[in-house]
Amino acid sequence: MKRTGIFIESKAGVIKSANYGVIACAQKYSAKYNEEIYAFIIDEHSGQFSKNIVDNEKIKQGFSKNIIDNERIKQELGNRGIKYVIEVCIDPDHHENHKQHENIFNPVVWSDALIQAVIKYKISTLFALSTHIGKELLPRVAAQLDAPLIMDCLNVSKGDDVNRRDDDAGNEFDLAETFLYSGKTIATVKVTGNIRMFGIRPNVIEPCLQAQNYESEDSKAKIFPIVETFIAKTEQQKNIKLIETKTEDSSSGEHLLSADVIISGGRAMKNGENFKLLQDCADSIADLGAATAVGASRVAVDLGWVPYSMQVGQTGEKVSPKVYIACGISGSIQHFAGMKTSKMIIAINESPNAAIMSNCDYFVEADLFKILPELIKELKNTKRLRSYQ
Amino acid sequence: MNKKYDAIIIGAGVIGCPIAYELCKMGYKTLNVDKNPDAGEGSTAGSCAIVRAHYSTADGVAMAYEGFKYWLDWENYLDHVKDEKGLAKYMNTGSLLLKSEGHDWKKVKKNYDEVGVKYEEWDNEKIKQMIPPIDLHKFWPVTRPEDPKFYDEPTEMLEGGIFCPEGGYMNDPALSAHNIMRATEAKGGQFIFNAEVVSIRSENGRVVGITLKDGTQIDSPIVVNVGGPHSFKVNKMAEGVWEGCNIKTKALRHEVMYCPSPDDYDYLNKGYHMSDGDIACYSRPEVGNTFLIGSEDPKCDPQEWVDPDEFYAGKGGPGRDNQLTEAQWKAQCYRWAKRIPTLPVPNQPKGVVDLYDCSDDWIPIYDKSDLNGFYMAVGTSGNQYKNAPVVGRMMAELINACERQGLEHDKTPFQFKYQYTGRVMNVGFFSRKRAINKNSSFSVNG
Amino acid sequence: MKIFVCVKHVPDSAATIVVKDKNQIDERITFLLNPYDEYAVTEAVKLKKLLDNQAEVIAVSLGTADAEKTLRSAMAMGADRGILITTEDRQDSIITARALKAAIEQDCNIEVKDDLYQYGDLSLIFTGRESIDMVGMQTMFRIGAYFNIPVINNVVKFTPFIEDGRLSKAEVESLAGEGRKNIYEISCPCVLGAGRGLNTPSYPTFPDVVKARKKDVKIVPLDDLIKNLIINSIKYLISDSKFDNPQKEQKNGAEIINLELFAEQRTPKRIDGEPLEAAKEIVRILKQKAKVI
Repeated sequence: MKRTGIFIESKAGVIKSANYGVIACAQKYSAKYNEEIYAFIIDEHSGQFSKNIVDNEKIKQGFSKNIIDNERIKQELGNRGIKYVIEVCIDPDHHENHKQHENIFNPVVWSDALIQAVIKYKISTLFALSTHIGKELLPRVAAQLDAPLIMDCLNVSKGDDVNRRDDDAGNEFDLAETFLYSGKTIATVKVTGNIRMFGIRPNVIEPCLQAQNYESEDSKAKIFPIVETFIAKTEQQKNIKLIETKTEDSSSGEHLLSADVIISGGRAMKNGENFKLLQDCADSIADLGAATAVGASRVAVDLGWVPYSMQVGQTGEKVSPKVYIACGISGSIQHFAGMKTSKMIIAINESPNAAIMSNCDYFVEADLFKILPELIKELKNTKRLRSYQ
Repeated sequence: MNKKYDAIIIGAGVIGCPIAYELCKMGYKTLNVDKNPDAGEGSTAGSCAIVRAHYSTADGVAMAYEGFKYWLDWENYLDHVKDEKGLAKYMNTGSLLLKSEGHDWKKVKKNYDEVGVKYEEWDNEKIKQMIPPIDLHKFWPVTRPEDPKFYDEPTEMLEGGIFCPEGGYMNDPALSAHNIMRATEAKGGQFIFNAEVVSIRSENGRVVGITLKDGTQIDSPIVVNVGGPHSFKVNKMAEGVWEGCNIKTKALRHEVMYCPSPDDYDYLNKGYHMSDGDIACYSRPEVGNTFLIGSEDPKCDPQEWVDPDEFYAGKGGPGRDNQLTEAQWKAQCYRWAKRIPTLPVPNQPKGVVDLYDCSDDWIPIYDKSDLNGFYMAVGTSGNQYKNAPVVGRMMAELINACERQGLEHDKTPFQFKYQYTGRVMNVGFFSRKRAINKNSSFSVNG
Repeated sequence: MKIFVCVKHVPDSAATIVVKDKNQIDERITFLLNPYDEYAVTEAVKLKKLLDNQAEVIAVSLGTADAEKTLRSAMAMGADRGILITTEDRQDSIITARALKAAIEQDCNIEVKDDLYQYGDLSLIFTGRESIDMVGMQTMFRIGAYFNIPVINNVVKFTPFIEDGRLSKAEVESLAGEGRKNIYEISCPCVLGAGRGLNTPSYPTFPDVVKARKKDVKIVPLDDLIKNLIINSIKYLISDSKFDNPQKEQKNGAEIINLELFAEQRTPKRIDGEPLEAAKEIVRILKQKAKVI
């Protein structure tokens, strides 16, 4: 029986919501031949120590926030029909200076752990998110396994292999869809090999829904997954050491790749100071329950108004939020390459001729400095009304 | 009932707008129709908007010098109209013409003297002092980077240049057309956009109106073709007009490049507009301390005559659509990089590709036509931006003389008096019936 | 000492892409040095200067004969010479990495003794963080795996440690997303994927272009290079059958079998009215259409 693996990214015991799209993709993929799905949990906030191996002393030392909450993850994944959950941990004895590094996510160490897990559980197809973590881990794993890897997939399916037998690896292949040539074409890529790996672009695949029948005690037992803890023996990293992780002041609580709503500014923002207006707007939307982030066009970054980490586009982040609000962004090919998969695009621009105005869902032809303050007021009113109810 | 106007102007670019403006001032009720969404969004937007006086004919020099006065007096010209987009600005940099085999600079100098254009002669030392990064070697003849000769070490030097303190560029060509549109509206003129003309209706040898793509018919006894690169297509729509022209127009593809200035040279604030026939390039400063580099169409460069509709739709195919080509990027930038040896040339081409509405002799046609009531201001060949306000006045007076004063322009050409310089221009010079003007440079230099 | 820069000849991001023959593109468009590789070349040339020019910067590329232009661009930006691995076809990341590995290995006289690599003249390999056409984001990791040397991608700051005129290790800042930077100490040789912000690319002047014309480009056909290639650095290597037995169908690889232009089908609707009305309408859309609040 072939096994499909999924790397699940979690943060302090909570599964990042974008993973549910990956699960949906893997489920559809493996359903064809009833293959089993193995979920590998890696926790961004260390996760070096599993609940199983943490004693009270360590909790006192402040490690408690890093423990993966097994029950919660078990439920979340069980509800979605996943039976096998493997919590991947790094053997603390082999991890240098772990106390100082409790919050450092070291991709070199982690990829090594994942490789061991993939081999141990005989995974033949691997799915993960094309997030920053995915971009660090997947290529490292693929390189060490010499396995083919397609990043930023929009969809993955099994190829038509009519002569397939269960143990016949000979004719098996997968088909992955991904953007090529600066987002201008969608390619179908035929992927062959004993292990095939896919990074899925966050938020492009509809997330899988919870199964409804787990509520009864009877079915709960059947659905709840088998959780194993896999402790990887990591080698001392002699030729590469992670010394430090710096976090830039990133004002938008949530981040671009996981945001439901992104509000971005371009040349018409005039200066960096004015991005506060976008932040206010994002905060007001966030107060109403949506994960938000503030983005920027390349011009705004090149002019030094905002840091590069906020750039959306070909040479910045490639995002797929539910709503992308472009303020004073003309909409170059390179910008579209980074946000064209947004579900809805709203453009606010003074110029009716800006490219974005003819390639969006809604547009307001007006000065953003007149619209945004009203929008912020209106969002705040919405909140008040709701809280009175 | 169809809407009716005294005059319909096809095109709302930098020449279509001033023609309407001047007609409005004479009391005509005008309508400009344009396929684009706003004024100046066609080939005007792609213009380098250079304001310089050197032309190969005295008439050319005189007209450019007259035009210069309009740009200087921009707010007055617009009758202090308000434009919500702001006003285009004239940037006076001064204009340097390098003496080279590529230009008939002796003729230019003679023309300057004749018209009274102010100028100084600079020797190499003076040029070097004014433009520190310049290399004044003679690179003639003009070649392409594919040709090994392109890389030959130069041995001779150029022999200085002619500097006009009066010269520069308009900072936003599309905006300048928009400004004139607002001025025209203030005098009662009307504009419709996203409106493509599909036929020009005529009865008994006289134009009666136009029909738009959506079927709308608009009537007028006067129709003026200012269609820019589309002009030849518009002429073909009007009965007998295309056939009646001895000089024809076509759309020529043209690339203009942006290259960053060397770090230690403030070209934006200290640089000049330069015309360099030795390497067949011209340049002017652009925002971001950038060199805008245009080509003077040397013989070794290919000429692509294209269908304007396919071109703008991006369907002309490689080298024939509105995408810069790598070969031309290298040709133009490397030519200029010979002149400025510290100029960094990025790997990614950046610039503008647009069309010239080019006539057979690179001199425009400002004329009536063989169809009564149908006029044309076409074949501007990439060198008439600077003349636009003058052309507006001249065309309006020509139309008025023919329509209201019974002038037989083909027999006794209209004589147009320049407002600022006082010279008189024989408009017959721009006749559609003329023989090809052998004095022309047959290039963007006009 | 040798510093290698792996560069790629890619279509300009501004070019109009036309699909032909199902999975090919019309190549009569501008191809250029992959923009991220500009940072890689610039950094390699900077490093050479830090080494008192006692090093050679070699640009390596896999591509069609036309890719020589990209090598010339890299050389105009300061690389000393080039190696062009020629192929008519588009190659996947596994083959590309193997070819680059083989070319670098040949150039450096790298040997394996007692299962340990003797890296010879190899000091460092730079790449761009990704290519803008294929965006595979993996070739640098594969090169590292094939040589058994460490890899850091998306490098935004590079501080080499030079001891006795030789490069021993480096401190490297890598952009980890969400505004985070990881700082590593990495031993050399290593592979570094250059990210935006690593430096300001130094574009060539005309004298640089003239110089680059005279620099040497060695041309090696791909097949010659990887025919006898032995990969022994990969400890988890499961199947290498692709190269042992090309007839056997199963191989580790990725092949583009179909390309379609991505046509955006959005029909813009205008939001009219005074700012207040427009703002109300946006809130209504967020609530009722997008259902995000």
